[in-house]
Amino acid sequence: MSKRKVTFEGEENFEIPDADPPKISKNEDESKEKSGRFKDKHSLDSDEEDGGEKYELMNEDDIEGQENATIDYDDGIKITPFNMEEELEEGHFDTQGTYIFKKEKEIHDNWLDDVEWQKIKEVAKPADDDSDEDEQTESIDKIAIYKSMIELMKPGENVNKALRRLGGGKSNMSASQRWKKKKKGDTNTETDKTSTKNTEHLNQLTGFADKLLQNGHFEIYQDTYEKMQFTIKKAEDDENAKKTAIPEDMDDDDALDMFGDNLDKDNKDTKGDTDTKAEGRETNGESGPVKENPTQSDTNTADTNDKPEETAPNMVDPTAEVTWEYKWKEEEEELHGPFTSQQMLDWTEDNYFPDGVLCRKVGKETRFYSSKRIDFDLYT
Amino acid sequence: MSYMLQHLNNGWQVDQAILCEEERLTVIRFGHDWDPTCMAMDETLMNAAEKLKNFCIIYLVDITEVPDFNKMYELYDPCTVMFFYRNKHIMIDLGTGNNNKINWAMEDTQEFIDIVETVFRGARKGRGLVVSPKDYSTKYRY
Repeated sequence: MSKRKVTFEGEENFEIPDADPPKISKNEDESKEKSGRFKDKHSLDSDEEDGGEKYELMNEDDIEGQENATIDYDDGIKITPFNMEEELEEGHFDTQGTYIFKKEKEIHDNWLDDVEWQKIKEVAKPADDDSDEDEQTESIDKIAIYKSMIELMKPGENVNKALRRLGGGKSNMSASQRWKKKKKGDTNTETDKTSTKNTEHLNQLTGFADKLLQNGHFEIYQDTYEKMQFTIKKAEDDENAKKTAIPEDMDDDDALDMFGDNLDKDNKDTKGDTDTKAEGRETNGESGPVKENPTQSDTNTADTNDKPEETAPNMVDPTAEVTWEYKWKEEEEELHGPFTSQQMLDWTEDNYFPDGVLCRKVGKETRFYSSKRIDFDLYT
Repeated sequence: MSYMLQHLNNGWQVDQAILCEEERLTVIRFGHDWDPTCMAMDETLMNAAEKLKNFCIIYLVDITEVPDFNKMYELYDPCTVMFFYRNKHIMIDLGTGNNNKINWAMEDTQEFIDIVETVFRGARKGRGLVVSPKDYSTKYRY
């Protein structure tokens, strides 16, 4: 092994004087040309160029064991020289040895050349401002819609389930039951009433859901009764807070932050979920079984609607914004805070509390926990 | 308001309880109602249930009546509390070395609420393992 290596290196050293000088100079030219191109050209297909700047090019000297071309043809058979010259004309190697083709010839799009990027940016900006203005009215609108939706839904249901329940009314009876009814020949007015009522509700609910969907709330069909109730309660609390002015235990920034967070959260909800999927389920639901008696369920909703609000004050709300206060030692009296979870997270990450501090949530006179065991990321 | 915790009487019910809850955390206490450890734990659970009901549902399972999970979840302690979210078991670093469950009776309702809230927040962020706010290793208990 070692013997081979020695002779190999020696060989190369010997070859350098006669064979390499012209090659090296050519190579340098080429690499200059390449780097120059990467720096100058920030064109549309710059994503390739971006990558190109990050890696280092392999020096051709590092490609070991190359041989110069000797003869082109031997008895009419083409001889390919054992070197990389041809390949290097069509591309280059990075230091890892990955071969990269030159792409500028292939990717050339006349349409892209014609695009006036300046104009496109100008158009995009005003649209942004519009959406910001809308959000204010939109969120109020949303709460109103939520409220009316909740009246149509039952606790523990999401919109999909509610639609299935309401839509399933027709196929409630089995084939034999329908047969019997047909035989009797009388139109059962009672079931008819409930079913028409249900379809009315169904239409209303679909309408509301659709409105929210068009406002960009794509997960509306998966939203549950409880979640909506949360949002309503939260929105109302926010409203009250705004009316009565900003509470003492937080500064203006925090209050604004909180609101900003709400909007963010709403936006986050608008992931690419499809309404087609929801519609598919909806239509499936019409043939699906219905467990509850529709009339009974309506009264249920009315009853349970009031209950959660009564007990609301002492409930834990995991969606609420949490602020923290801390003290350095157990026996210390001095409290620092309130701080937002983001602040606490940044500080712990910057190792501002090397031995941990004792912290607790603001507003609840609960015990202090070591900041080392609290993952503030969960609260942001 | 008094609030009774619901018992699950067979393996299917336990499965469904874990499977069907989409938005809330499912907390299951495995043990026996007559066991003193469980009695203490149930007291805590009962107090916490009302405050947590928006994002957590608590069930009780008798491990003699429903032995289906004893092997899978290694239910050898008198009282075991486990957390599930969207059909996924959520682990908690309690400092005890067993991240799968709370296998002692917690006396303090607020501590339990804090754990549940942490688990819920973690689970909703896609974490499979969360760190409980308090370290329950023995060196702090005595």
